Amino acid sequence: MPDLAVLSVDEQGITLHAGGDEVLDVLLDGRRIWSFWSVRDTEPSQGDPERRRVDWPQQLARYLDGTTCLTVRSHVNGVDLFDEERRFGTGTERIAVVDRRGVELAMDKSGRMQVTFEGRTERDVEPLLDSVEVVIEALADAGVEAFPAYGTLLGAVRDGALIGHDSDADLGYVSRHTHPADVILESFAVQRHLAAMGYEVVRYSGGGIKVTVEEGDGGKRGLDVFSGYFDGEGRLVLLGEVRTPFEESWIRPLGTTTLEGRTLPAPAEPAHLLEAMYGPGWRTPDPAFRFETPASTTTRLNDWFRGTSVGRADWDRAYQRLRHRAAPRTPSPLARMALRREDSPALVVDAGCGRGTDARFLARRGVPALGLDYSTRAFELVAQEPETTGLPLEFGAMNLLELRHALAWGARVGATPGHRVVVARHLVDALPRAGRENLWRFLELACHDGGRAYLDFLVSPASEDPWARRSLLRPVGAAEVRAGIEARGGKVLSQTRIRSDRMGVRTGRRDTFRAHRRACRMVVEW
Amino acid sequence: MVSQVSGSEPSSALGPVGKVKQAVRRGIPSRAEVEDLRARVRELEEAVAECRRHHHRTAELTDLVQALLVPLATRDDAALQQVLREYTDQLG
Repeated sequence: MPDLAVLSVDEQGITLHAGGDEVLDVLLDGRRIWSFWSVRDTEPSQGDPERRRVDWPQQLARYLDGTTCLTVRSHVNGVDLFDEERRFGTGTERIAVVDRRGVELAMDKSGRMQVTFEGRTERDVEPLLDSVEVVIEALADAGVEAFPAYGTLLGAVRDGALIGHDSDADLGYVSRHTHPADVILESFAVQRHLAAMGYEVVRYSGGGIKVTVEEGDGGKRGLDVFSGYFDGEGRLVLLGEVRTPFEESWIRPLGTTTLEGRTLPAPAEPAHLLEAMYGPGWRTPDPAFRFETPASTTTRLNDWFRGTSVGRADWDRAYQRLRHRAAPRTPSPLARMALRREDSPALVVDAGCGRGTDARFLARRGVPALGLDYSTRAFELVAQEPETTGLPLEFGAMNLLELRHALAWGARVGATPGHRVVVARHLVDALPRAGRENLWRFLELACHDGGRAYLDFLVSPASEDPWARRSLLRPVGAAEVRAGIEARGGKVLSQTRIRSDRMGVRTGRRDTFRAHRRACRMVVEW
Repeated sequence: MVSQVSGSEPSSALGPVGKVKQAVRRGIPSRAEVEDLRARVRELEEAVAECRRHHHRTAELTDLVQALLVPLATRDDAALQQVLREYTDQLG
């Protein structure tokens, strides 16, 4: 038996004989879709440590219905270990791993099906390169010297090109500051500067932002920008994976590198940074690369910079799925109740407004409404609807995992003259504890001097409830909520238990949790 | 964990008292001491993490206070409203 061989390929996955660990590419009709390590990513089977098995990744398995010529190829020496016509599922067409627009997808390093650079023409990648140049220039305008980082730097230095199995471009900069707090402050200032220049910027951590650039064809692309700094102890720290002894002269003054024929700034000696990012083997291509960041680095980066986007990936995915679908028209029972009970409020804030249905409903009834959510993508469709033009309706980005968001929005809302009302439907139960603490602060500021808050949140049953899981909600005890609110000076005017049918939940007949599901409705005054 | 030191008696040949005496001779901490040290390390790790987390909070507060300080100090209400509006509009 050779050292490495494919024993079988079936509906569930691939069985190998693997004496050693190496990267294998899986191609469908000649196009690479996925890569994995023959030992690292497989499990031993039938008691033989060299007989190994890997299942199709879930993200890829969704596409496997039909026929294809399936190839398993050694990435390093190009030898085909398997190359046969195969049929999966009941489909008769050729398997097409493409998105809704028909653009070819492959699995990227984080296990998502993405449009990778493989097979894309020079013309295809031009808009991305334009964006890289534009954002580097904008960052320079904001006072930091950015350069391509991670996979983008690796591709530039190794081949002068984008890496085929990569799907995005990353930038980094090394601050002149030496303390995390100062680096974060600088990152806030950079974000503000870019926002003032008209860029859409989303923050992921104290040292990580995504800058969205509109490209020539109207499409939007997000570039990740990572902050770094020298810690004053001879180490370079660079989000999201690096903390290592490093010479400042290896970074600055910046030199240049070439990416797809364009000259871009680069660390003075990029090989050192690439080794810090990808290890001493960075010169050998590895489409199945995984960071093995030491726990000591991850813990520090988490403590210093992170915690402001907990759970965001799940919410982003949920909103991504809905991005072409119109927001529901029917307002929540909570918004109707607030409208009925409150006498001509000067402003109603829908905190955690999601897609903006309630905020739009209130504005259509003539009530000045402000929808706030961490995700600007979520309310984008409603905010852009022609029918909302002229309505007293505004939207804004509020991430309750950032204290400054809670304080600044609280102060802005609280400065509105007249009666202020906040509606928060399933926000309390969508937030982690730190977010709830910030929500109480926001409410205290926003509702001071007689303002009221209407809160609906799930109190039971536990997380096995499929609706709750789908809605990314976790029940919270009413006593805990009450204590948090009272500690911030709020007075609970009423607290009622409401059943599933009064929550505005639309679920099927097979919803067995319906009878047990309970939410709490709380009306609070400051 | 009792490690073997060359020249000493194998621990399997010793009774419980002998094992304790041997451990004391080598300066090996007792189980209770190890547990105590583990608890202290856990506590220290938590304390370090708490300190590190102050960086983010300090930056957030400094950022906001700095933005508001000039209009507050000059009691310029219109400027204060404007700063708050711009500050929140540029969050993301």
